[in-house]
Amino acid sequence: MRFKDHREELDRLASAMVDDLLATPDEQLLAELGEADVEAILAAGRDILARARRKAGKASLAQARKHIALEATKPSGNRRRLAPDVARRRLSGIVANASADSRITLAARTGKGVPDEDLDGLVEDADDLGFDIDADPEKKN
Amino acid sequence: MTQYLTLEETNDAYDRLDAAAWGKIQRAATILSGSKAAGRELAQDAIGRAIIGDRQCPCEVDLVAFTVMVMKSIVSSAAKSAKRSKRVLLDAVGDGQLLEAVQRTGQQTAEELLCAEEEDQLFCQRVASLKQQVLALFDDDDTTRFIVEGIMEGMEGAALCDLVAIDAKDLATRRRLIRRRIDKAFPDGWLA
Repeated sequence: MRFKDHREELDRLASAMVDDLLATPDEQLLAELGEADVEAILAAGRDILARARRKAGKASLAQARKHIALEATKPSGNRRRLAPDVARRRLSGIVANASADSRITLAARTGKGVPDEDLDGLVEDADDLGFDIDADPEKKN
Repeated sequence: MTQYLTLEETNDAYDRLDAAAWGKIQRAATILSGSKAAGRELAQDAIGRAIIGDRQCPCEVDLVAFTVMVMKSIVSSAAKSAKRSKRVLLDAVGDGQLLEAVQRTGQQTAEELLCAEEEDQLFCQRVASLKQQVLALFDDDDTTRFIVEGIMEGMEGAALCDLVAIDAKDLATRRRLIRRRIDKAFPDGWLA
């Protein structure tokens, strides 16, 4: 018989002992514990609860930090990342409809030299600034 | 539909636990983990999961019973995880003789595997000796000793009654005797 079998045997006995413990009336258990132990048990219980709360608090904080860090890596808002050709078309529409606006950068106006991966960000920035990102590039205001 | 205590209700309920309730939680934790120190960690872990809502206590379930159930589940998961550890064959001294060892995460070198295997062997001997010590506590009472052996084999209720030809009331009395006698022999847990 391997160690694990012996360990499982003791685990089964432990489980049965715990079931009996739960079924033991409180007053009978307190009599088993003795007067002196009761205060010590209450103090130990409070200590366990306080430590559990501290540990849970730390875990929640770590979880919140992780969540914030994860959110920071995502694109803002609920926007879905645009395909480069769609983003380029939208950018053209914005520029065509507001080419005189000083908030439109030179790079955005010419549309040249803007890497595909930056196009989506430019459209988002334009949206944040209040430009009509669904504007038709063929129609000027 | 099952209704659960809210986080606030769970926290309040833990604040209101009395000495008997804490006595049960602490003793159960010691029994399940094998030592008082490990028991404190286990109880903290179980209560921590409950107060953040990782485990929710159904309204109709006693909080002590719920906490003990969570502790049992934690211990059982740890045991299952240990069971899944891969056994590998290694040639520790390079003489072509293969030894069986337990492969765990982070134990990659032959030396580390051998060390872990030796620890397992020592623990194995300790557990086997413990089992004999526990059984010896009932050398004066064959019926109760049979019950202890039956429980170790996984028998419960009616099967245990049939094993030694006793009724349910007698079984409950003997189960209490078993717990008290083992508690007295190993007050700090059997792995302490």
